[in-house]
Amino acid sequence: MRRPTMTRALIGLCFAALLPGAAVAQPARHAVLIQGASGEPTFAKQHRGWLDQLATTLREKFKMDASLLTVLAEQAGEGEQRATAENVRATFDRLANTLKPEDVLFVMLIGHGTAEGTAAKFNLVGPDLTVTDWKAVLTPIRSRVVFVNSSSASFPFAAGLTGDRRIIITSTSTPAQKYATVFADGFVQALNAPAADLDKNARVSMWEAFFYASRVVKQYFEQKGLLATERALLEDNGDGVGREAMSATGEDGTLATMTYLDAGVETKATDPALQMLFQKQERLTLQIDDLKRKKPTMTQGEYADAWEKLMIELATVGAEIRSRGGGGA
Amino acid sequence: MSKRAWLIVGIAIVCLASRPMAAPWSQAAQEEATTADTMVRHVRRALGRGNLDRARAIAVTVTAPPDAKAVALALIEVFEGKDAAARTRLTPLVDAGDMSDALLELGLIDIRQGKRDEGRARLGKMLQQSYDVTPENSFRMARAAAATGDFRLANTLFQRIGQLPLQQADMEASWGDMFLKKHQNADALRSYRAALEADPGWIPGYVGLARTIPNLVDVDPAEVTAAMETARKLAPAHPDVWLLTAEHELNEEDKSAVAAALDRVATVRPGTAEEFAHRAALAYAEGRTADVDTALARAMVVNPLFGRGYRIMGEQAERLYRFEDAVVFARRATTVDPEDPEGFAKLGIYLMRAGDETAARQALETAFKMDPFNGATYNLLLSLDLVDGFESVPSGDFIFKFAKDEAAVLKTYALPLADLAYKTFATRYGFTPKGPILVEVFSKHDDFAVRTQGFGGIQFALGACFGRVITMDSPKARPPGTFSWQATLWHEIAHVFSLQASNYRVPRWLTEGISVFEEHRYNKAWGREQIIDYARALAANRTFGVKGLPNAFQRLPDISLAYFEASLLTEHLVATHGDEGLRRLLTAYAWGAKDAEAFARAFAQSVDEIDASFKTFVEKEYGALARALAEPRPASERGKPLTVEGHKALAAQVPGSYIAQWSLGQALLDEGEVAGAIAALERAIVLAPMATEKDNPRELLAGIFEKQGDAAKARGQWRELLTWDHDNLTAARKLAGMAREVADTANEDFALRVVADVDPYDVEAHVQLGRRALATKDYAGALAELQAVLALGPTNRAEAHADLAEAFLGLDRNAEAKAEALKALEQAPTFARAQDLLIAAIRRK
Repeated sequence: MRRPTMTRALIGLCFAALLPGAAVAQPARHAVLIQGASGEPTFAKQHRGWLDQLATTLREKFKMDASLLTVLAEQAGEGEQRATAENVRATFDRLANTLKPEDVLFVMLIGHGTAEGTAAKFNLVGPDLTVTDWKAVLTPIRSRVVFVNSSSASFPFAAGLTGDRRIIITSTSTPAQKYATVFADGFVQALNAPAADLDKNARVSMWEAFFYASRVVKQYFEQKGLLATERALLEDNGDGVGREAMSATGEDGTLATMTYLDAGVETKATDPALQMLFQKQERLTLQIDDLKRKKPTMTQGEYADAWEKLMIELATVGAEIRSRGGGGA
Repeated sequence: MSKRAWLIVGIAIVCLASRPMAAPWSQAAQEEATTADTMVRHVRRALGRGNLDRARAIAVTVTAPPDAKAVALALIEVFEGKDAAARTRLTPLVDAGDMSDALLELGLIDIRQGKRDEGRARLGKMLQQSYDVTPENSFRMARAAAATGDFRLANTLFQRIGQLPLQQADMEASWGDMFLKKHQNADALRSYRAALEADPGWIPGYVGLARTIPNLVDVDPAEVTAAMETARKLAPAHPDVWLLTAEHELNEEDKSAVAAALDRVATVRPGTAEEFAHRAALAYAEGRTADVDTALARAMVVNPLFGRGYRIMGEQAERLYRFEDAVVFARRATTVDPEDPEGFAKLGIYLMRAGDETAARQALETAFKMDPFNGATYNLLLSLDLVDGFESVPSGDFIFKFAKDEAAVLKTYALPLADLAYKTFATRYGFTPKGPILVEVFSKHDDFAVRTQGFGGIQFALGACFGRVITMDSPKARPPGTFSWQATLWHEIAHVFSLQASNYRVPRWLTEGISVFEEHRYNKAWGREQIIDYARALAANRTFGVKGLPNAFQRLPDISLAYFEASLLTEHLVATHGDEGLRRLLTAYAWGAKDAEAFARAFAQSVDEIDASFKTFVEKEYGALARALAEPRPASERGKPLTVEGHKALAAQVPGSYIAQWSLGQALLDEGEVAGAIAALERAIVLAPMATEKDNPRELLAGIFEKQGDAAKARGQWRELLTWDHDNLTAARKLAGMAREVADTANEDFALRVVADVDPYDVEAHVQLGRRALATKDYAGALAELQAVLALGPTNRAEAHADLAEAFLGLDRNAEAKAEALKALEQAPTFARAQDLLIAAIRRK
């Protein structure tokens, strides 16, 4: 598995959420979940199921403020709106006035889409919105945006919605992939699966969710003995060209790796010894990052020895932290 | 379905009923007056129609120059196999011209008699001529070019001919012969059909069709039977027709029919090399070694370059699965006639089946250089190239070869399973087979087919065994859940023992019967896939019995049932006489006994006695099931829809009918009468607990119970279904999911085991099984599963390495545990579990 390249600064940012005493202001997390027109009862039931699971995960597991979660559904339930173009526009108009640059907006489309070349639509109740329409509703949003279009024929959304501080995930990677998709199922599973946490930091980043969901989709088709009719893409470097999860090429993924939907963990230690251990852990982590960068200049043996030494030190510190009640992944 | 299935395809098709034949050719209506100019052509035509008397009459009665008469008479002598007499008659005529029939026929006789240089010299003269290229002369030159091996020139000449009065059918069939020899089967078919269009009485056209069609997958095999029957009716004494019959009867293993056919050949054309070679093949099949040598020696006297004779022997050895003998014969063919590419091609094929791939490549490359038209040679070379890229895994008595991307996963399971099979069979059969046993596992079914038979098109077989070589589909070769590759491996290894223990003389019904029965002995669900079909056949009185089984294996539609019934017969023999009885039976076959004698020697029983006791066994074991599966309604009523009341009445009328109860259950379910449906479906299960078809009672009940919220009962139904339906991945995954929700580890483990066995590429199944094994401290079991996880590429590498580290730690393999912990930390440096495992591994060191 190839994972996205992370810079030292970004790693530092990720770990900042774990460090003691670092009173980092948590950004507000908003979500807009949209279940479009299903077309038939089987899809209606399936799509509604995914929508409900996702909403429940955000509310209950990720402790998202219910007032910041907007649900637009084919059949609107209590506290929900119908998934019409008008309601979509109104929702994003409201958010444009609310969101701050440090906030995170998560948008997920569940349902069907259609595409003709680069012109794609997501099927809503009533008139649909095209990629261009979606681009227009997102333009005023100033925060970081995670936009997941899990519908069929979603590929053009990657190029159409790309932008600064945007993570665009589409369930398909070519215009030819137009059949009903199962990516949403994998994505929802990912947010709840311990195995999706690749770096074992007790959180599932958007990259990890995308990676896990892509594996679920791959296995789905393999287990049915079918050729895969969907392969998901992630685009987050603003060039409009996404990459697949298992692809060995592509520079996307950096922003997704450091973007989470959960509230994060704010670890505070009052025990001075524990504080010191955390600081030591941080130093070792930075040394590990440094060692990784030096790897091309070292022999295999030198690297292995240095790596082992650091890992043993880090493991020892980690064990000590845990023994003092400092937690750990 | 398994080994040898591909072999029977070609054989079975000739047994099909022929389609209505065209009206026999009316010779009299089409005869033209013979003149001196056309006499030779008329004689050739009469011979081509199998009418020897007419040919003789023309040669004797028509007034013509002496040279023409001599050629005509020589043609008749050639037809009768009197090449020496024809030579004497033709020799004085060859100076008459370089484009004469005499020169051509004499050149052909030279080649037929092994005087290749003389023949080439004579025929070469013809090919040097560039004048007077009439259609007749082009035809002569084409025949000469084909006989000297210049097939491109021959083809060009054939193309140039166009219309050829009196000889159109002759020319088309000769062209077909050339195509057939160069493996251009579709072109050969077109030529033979064109020959028969030109002359529906042209016997070489029918013979050619019958030899060509088995090589073509898209032609109705019934045409072979039709062609042979027509030829026999039109020319009941034609030696080529009887030679063809002898070839077919050798395939059918009907030795008396072979002998009779060869006698018919000899009646008209005695003493040919072909006849002697086929008599040698028959003697070989009958174990008459001295007669083999005598017959072959006689063939060599006729034609010292008759490598084809040894090829015929090789083919016979191949039919009998004696590939080491086949190698010897084919090698001899290449030394007798080093210019015959077919000898090298066959040698390559047999060497591949004997497991010597290095020598096989050498032989096939030689064959390919000499004859690049042979598709099978080309395919086999490609197959060897493919296998060269495989990972070779020696293991005990086996050498496994897996595709590189499959090796890590498959070897985890295949090696211990093969080892267990070997030990089980070695003990059971008291026999150690000659090894090593080469097992090649192909990710694509077509690659398996090519490795097995040289070309694609094996539809039903999953594996094949040649005694010391096993080829088989990997789980990737077919959609997941459609077969058990492990059952295939077990089945094929059983063949290794039955084939070798009987010196390759075990009849097909028994070797298949043993293999299927051995599947069932190892895993109760394996080898029982046909049980419902068999019970239905039993109810309809369509089973075969001991006497009918061998022939059932020759009929494609009966093959599946024949496999199953053969396994039941084996089961019965073992139940009655023990494994020792089965060993005695194999030994009797090894000595050369046939069924009756073998039964007598092994069990002191006649075929009739075995048949009678088998019937009793079948009735006892399957009689009730057969009655439960019998159609409950008369034929005239079947298919008519029933109301729910009608279903109820039928079920009440025939309470012992599975069909009636099952149908009632479905009807009630449709009507929402759930309680009634449950009762009916449960009655159906009692009547036929092994039913696994779509919407079977257990599947329906599981759905009902799940809807009712009784998950435990639903799980129970899925579990029971899986005890019969061993490759039902849908059921297994369903059960695993339901069991996981309530921590029902017994059912979850059972279901996951099914998933991992049938679809070893399901990573999650291995993860779960591995972790369960860790939890129960079964570290060796965990290691196998977790190594498979890493080989497959887990979603979460850090966890996978940590799991593996824990397994190594449990096995006290601390250095490996440390290495795996470090790999986990490379993925996730702060992964607490991996850190703890690293520390534990270091402390233990």
